[in-house]
Amino acid sequence: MNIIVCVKQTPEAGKGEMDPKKGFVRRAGGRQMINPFDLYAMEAALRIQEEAPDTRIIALSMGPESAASVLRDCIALGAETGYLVSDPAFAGSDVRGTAKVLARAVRVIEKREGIRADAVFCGAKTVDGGTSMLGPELAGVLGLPQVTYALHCNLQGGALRVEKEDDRGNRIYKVPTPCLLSFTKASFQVRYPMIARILQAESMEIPLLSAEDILAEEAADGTSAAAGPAAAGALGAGTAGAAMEVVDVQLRKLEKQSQIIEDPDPVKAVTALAQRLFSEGIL
Amino acid sequence: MMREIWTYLETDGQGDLFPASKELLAQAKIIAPAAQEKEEEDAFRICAVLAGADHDNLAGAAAKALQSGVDRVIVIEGDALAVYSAEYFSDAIGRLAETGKPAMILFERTTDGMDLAPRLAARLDAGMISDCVDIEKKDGRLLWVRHAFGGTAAVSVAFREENRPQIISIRPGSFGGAGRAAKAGEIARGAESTASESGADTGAITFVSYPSGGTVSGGTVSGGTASGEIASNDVASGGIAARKAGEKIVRPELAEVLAAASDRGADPASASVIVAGGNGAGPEGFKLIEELAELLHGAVGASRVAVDKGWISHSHLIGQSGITVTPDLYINCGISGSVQHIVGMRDAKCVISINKDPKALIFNVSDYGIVGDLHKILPALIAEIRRHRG
Repeated sequence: MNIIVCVKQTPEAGKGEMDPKKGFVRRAGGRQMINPFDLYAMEAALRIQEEAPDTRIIALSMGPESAASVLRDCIALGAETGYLVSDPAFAGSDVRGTAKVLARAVRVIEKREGIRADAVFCGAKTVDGGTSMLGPELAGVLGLPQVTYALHCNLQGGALRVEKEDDRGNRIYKVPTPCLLSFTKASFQVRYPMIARILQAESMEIPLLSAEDILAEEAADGTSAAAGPAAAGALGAGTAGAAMEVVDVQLRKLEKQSQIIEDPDPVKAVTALAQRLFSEGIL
Repeated sequence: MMREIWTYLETDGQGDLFPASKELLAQAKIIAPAAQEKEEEDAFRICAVLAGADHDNLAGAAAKALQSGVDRVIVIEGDALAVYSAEYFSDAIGRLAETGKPAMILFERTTDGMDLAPRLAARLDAGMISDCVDIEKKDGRLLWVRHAFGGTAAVSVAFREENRPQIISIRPGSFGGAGRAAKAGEIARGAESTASESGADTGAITFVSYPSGGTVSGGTVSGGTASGEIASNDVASGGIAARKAGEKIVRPELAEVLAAASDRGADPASASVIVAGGNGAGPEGFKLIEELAELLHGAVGASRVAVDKGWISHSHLIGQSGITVTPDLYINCGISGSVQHIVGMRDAKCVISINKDPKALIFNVSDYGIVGDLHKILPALIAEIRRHRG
């Protein structure tokens, strides 16, 4: 089984903000890290590998060059290698454009590694934009069967048996490969990387794919006539390929003036609170 | 030219609409006039779209949609649609949209809605905005508002392409509690007799058939995988665009539907009052939480820990990996207030927190709080409310 795990570099939960002019801005003390939902996807892949030790896991990310760090995180956890799709011309890509580029990158990885991607795993959502759209859009572009909000999966013959979290009661699916699964938080813990692998990951070279590289890989003569924004546009990504644009970003004020009651007698505490709630018409 | 907003509706399997779909219809009625960019333009018509294989169930739900005031209903029927799958449903709706050319297609943000809508966007090569909470106009442009970065930012997004359907998923409970109003109306109507149901104008319901894949029949599939090679012929009933020759659709096979862990009544997604419990609650605490929720005609919510421990089912999970809620009143008990939980409830109008730990983070986002043991506080609070009501 060959699994490509798509991951994204996101701000630490609760530490990210958007600036209308500069885009994303980090708050003091905030770190850039792997999107937590992508870690569940990575964990699911590692569990498949435990079932079938010849499983190959390859991580894939699209982002700035600094996003190589989240690929190293995946390698430290047990991925064999990671590919970073990065090009300044990809800036401004929306989810549609991102899905198109990642789909092409999956094909490049298949060619370079001499494999068929039996499964593409990703997180069900990100903690920054949080659109929850990438998985199904990527599955749509690749024409693969999909299961979203997957909790865990295991091998069943050549297929995957997947439990999906669902509003109307969880469902069990049997999915033929190749397929795409997007993962939400499962009840199990995500493993920690081993020190030896962290060190190994630090020194590994992360293959970089620019828009031009992807086009060149696909061309018969191995070269691309287009580069930069033109190449990104040809892939349907970048600002030119975006179906949507962010017009305005407002920071939302969320702090509250709290009235906290501390009284060792629960009845007195409740009476004090209830009177306020009744008088303000809340209850 | 007549412009339409399509709304994708789910049925309850018994001839009625799924509650989330009723809410979507109510939201669509607010969105339709607000989405009109210029006064001289024709108003948007609202068209409901249903898909499946059970004719009676679909016809019943379609009649309910008409009763709620949509302009027309399209029902797509086909064996391949007997069991929901993003693969076949996106193909069916996508091909319908290619000929019907709606201006927008709206989805409620349910697990199925968020499975299907982005897949349809890819199918139509269209843009999509998910989890919208509001709509606004700026310099004559229509903007959709959604929250990002764990609710810390409100982002206004515009579509750049006019020639394709715009796909939008709507957050439950948004648009001024339209869904709550829809549900209240439902309760009022339910009290009356159901005699008016026969008055549905079936003339406004169009049934179109979706061609089955070769090996698909009745939702079960031969050969272990649900793949089907589909003929390139168009269907006689019209409305569905022709499928490309040799195009193949593969879907997952539904093996089993598990029973929900413990369904504690009302749906928190669109409730105006929520009483939620977390790690500090335990099974006993949840009984009290349920009692208070019932007393306040509200729904029960939960943090991740409570769901993981099996005290309550996932549909009640509030937070990053569950639903985001915007009730008028959010009473939480034994929830410490992780960032992951707070992003799901911070937009509640009034937050009351009960926690043993005076330093619990939840107090930072609370209007009122009591420091103490919920097992003692809740019975006292329930008694106090009963006394107040006489």
